[in-house]
Amino acid sequence: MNKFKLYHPVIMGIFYFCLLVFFSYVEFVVKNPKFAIVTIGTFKVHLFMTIIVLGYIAFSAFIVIYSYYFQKSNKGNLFSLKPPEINEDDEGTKAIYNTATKRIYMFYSSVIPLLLFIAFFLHMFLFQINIDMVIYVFLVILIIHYGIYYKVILEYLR
Amino acid sequence: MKNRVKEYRARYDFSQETLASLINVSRQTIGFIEKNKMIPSTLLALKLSKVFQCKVEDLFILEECDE
Repeated sequence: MNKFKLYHPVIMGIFYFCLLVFFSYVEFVVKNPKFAIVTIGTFKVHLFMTIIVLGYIAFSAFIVIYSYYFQKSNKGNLFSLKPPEINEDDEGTKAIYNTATKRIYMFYSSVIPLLLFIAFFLHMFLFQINIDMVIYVFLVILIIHYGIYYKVILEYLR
Repeated sequence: MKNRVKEYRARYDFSQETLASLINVSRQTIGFIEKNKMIPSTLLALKLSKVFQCKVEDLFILEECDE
């Protein structure tokens, strides 16, 4: 079994989790600028800028490495829309894919109507929904999506 | 449905990898079949029976709950 295809859901789950932590931190510091610089002993460290630079380097490195393995698993096609976890090379991976997609379908068919209802209620009666909230909700949904997929993989491999 | 793939594999002294290469699947697929985590396709069942020189129904046995 191709390791990249098999573990793609966990790679993407970790990536989106890191993105969620990064966005939350940036938003927190933008709202509380005094936390941008921390003092360690006599040194003043610009933590915010350090994290932005490190985040940029990590993101760029991830994109380069990911693109390499993605095109390798897609016969050289870097712009394929087919996610690597759709792995039909083998009956075992097909079985994983069938079980996982069934569970993810169940997840989306229950979570999307629920979120629609909650969003409608919040928007009409409590407060305006801003773009930050939408980004966080999408990231959490993606993390759960890949979490469900990876759980199925673990169940099979155990 | 029960299966006797593991038993036949032991009888022929095949490792999961050897059997997998004989029927052109991954080693993990053999593990999934042996642990009853998946039901193989007709094609794969026929390939297994050919390797073990037995009938498909000797390898895969229906249980009462399947009927």
